[in-house]
Amino acid sequence: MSWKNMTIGKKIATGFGVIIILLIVLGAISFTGVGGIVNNASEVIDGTSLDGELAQKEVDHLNWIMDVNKLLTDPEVNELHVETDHTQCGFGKWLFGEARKEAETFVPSIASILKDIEEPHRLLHESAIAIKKAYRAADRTLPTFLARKEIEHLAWAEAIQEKLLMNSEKIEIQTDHTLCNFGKWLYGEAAAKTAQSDPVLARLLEEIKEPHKKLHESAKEIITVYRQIHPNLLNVLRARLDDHRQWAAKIAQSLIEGTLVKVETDPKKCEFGIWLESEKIKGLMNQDPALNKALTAVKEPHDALHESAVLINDALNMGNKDLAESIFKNKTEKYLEEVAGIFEQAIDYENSLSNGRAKAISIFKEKTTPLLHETKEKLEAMRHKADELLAGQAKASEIYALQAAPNLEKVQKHLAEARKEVEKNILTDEAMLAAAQSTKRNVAIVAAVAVIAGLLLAFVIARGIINVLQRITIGMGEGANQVASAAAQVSSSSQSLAEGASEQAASIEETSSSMEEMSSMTKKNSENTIQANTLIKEANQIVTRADESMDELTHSMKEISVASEETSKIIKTIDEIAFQTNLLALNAAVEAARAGEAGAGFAVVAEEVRNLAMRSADAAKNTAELIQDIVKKVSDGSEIVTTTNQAFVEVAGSTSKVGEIVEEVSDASNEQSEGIVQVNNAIAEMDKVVQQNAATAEESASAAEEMNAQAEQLKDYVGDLMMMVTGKKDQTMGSGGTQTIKTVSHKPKSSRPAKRMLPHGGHGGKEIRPDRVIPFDDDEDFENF
Amino acid sequence: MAEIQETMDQAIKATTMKIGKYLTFSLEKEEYGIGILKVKEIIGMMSITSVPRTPDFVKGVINLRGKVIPVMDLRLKFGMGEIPYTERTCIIVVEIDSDSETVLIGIVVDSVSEVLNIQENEIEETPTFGTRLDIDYILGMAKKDGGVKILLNIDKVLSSKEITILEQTTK
Repeated sequence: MSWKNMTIGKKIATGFGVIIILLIVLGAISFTGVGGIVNNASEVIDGTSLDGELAQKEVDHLNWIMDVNKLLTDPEVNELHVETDHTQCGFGKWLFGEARKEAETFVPSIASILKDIEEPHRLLHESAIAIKKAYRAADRTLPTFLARKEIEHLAWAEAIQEKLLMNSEKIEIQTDHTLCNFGKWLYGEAAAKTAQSDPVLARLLEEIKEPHKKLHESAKEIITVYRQIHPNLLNVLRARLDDHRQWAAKIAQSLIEGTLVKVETDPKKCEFGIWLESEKIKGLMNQDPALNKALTAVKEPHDALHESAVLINDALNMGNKDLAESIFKNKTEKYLEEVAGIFEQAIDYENSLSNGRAKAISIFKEKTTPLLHETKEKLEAMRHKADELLAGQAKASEIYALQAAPNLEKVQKHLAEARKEVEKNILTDEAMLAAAQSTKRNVAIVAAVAVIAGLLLAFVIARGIINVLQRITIGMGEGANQVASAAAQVSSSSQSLAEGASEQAASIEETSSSMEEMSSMTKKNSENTIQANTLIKEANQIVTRADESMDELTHSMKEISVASEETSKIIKTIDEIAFQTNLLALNAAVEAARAGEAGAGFAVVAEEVRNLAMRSADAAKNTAELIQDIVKKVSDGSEIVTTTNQAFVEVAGSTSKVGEIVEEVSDASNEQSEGIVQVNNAIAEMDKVVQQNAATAEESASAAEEMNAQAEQLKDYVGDLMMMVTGKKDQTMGSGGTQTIKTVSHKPKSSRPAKRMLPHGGHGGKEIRPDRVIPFDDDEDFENF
Repeated sequence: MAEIQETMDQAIKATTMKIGKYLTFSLEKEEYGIGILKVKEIIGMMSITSVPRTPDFVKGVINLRGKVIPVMDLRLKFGMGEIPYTERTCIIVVEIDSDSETVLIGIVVDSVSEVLNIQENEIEETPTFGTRLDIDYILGMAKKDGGVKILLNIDKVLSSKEITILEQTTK
């Protein structure tokens, strides 16, 4: 059903239906679009939160590793306070909880990444445990500090020793155990802190305090005991004392001999005087007040001693020996004793100095050195301990570098991958916006389509209705015109119909006479067929006789064939006999040859016999060939006989068929005569009908008149309708008028032949054709006959 | 005495010159001849009793008037291929000189032709086909009626070993 063929109701319904469908589609698109946007938004929120969560986990682990790192790098932090259970840290809880499943369902592709992350994450946390175990709080600088202090104390002791050996004036070293560098540290806050960090270290620190203190105290002792000595001074003093004793002895000798005393009288020129005046001694004297005092004291008696010698010399010059002797006794000896006493005093002082030094050295050896060793040992023990602690720290650092850092890197890498994967899989804001935009666009497009479709449909339907109405009015106008002209035509055709009826009556008369002639012809035909039938019967008898003779012929042919075969058997026997004879002849020839000369004649006979045998064999062969020929010919003949026989059978068949056909012809002729009688009856009836036709034609002429009047009225109605549809009246009617003539002139042409066909069909019904009644179709059979 | 001598001479000459009478027979369209004195008898085909475990060319034995004789097919011996026997097929009974004794052997041939008298000028020496070919069993070639007939030395056709085998079939 096409658009044009639809009823108006259906058209309108279709139009509204389309618009409603479009509205439904629009609504559906809007609904699904908004639903999609809402879904997308929730997806974006989920994705972003998942992404944020992963980022947070990444940051958490960075913080976590920073805590671990702080332990290793910050001396202030000595304990690890991080999560070591990989399932309990923020990410672990997430990873082994429901959130991961949600994330996996949300972004399935991160499942494998999350699986990958589990191992390094676990290792990361395990590394923290390992670090915790391996870590020891240690001061990095402590071992070197302690080593330096050790060296400082060694140097300190060295300094004491050196000063002792160098015979320094004074030993100036640190004797307060709290004020030496180590002491400051030891009794300071740093040591307390170190002691806090490790109990062993604390114990060692306590232990070192005692020997260290003692060490410094020993130094104090040394200092108090130590005295600087004056090397050679003792010897010089003793030598000078001896010199002066000798000097005095010389005087004594001179006195005894009574000679002039020839000794040094100038106190400044004797060796002691020179030594005393020397700068070296002056320096010594300035340094040592005790020595200064002694030497200054010795000056006066020494001067007096030398003066006594001068006095003795004077006395001797005067010859006063007694005086000289008394001077010697009173003065020289007195002053000598005095000088000697002072010298002894100086020597004693020097001896006391030497003793102090020796004591200091012994204290150094007996006290300071072992204490130094002890202190050193303790320091070393501390240093070892510090080193040990440092090794723990180093191990922790190593674990950090080898296990924690790479695993963190892995975890971060995987997390970054996961984030990337999440980003890849979740909708971004732009994508969501794009989806929303596309939804908006789709809705806009569908709405536009709906509006356009509505407009189009309204236009099409309205136009369709108007067009149809227009066409109908025009058509009706035309129809009215046509009816009017048709009515005129009907009246004229009714008149010609009446004329036709009279003509028909005349033709019927003619037909009747033709039928008479046909009847006589049919009778003749019937007679001829009877004659043909008898002739055919005769022919049939002749054919039967020929058939019998053929059978006999075949029989005798067969007999000839049998006889020939028997003859050929005989010939074969003859041939065999000839062969045997030939063999016999050959054997005879052999025998004859064996007999030699005696068999010569026999050989000739044998040859002759053989020749005869050969001849009979030839004859037999010829005869056999002849017989073969006869047999072949006989078989040819029998073939021909068979063919002939077949031909006769066919002839017999044809004749019987001819008989049948002739009989059918006879039957057909009979039917024909019956048919003719019927045709006569029909013609009579036809005559009646023609009479009636003439009367009807008159009636139809009057009816046409009435029709014309009604057509005029119809025209008026159409005019009104036209006015309503188009607002015009004249034009359509005019055009309708012209078309009327054309259509009317066509119609009768097409209808007339149909009317004429009727008499043919009515009378004939089925024309009885002679060739149908009598089957002449088997013409070939006749020819054969 | 002189007569005997003459006969002997003739016989020797005949042997050496190979002239004399030959029984000819056909095998595969070719004509062959056997010295007539070698022929004992010619008989038509008769039933041959086959003997198992003998060479192909040995067809078996026949009962010739109460005497059992081995029979060989010359076609097979000459490697010509077997054909079915016809009514023209014959057995030529020949005497073969073995080492010391004379043996009777039947030879199956396609057909027997005739007894021919071969003259001296009709005999040609066997052409040498090559040094390797053993042609001892051919006496010569007889030119007769425009064709060539091969004259066989029936003693050499079979080797002594084969003769022994044939002999043994009858024992």
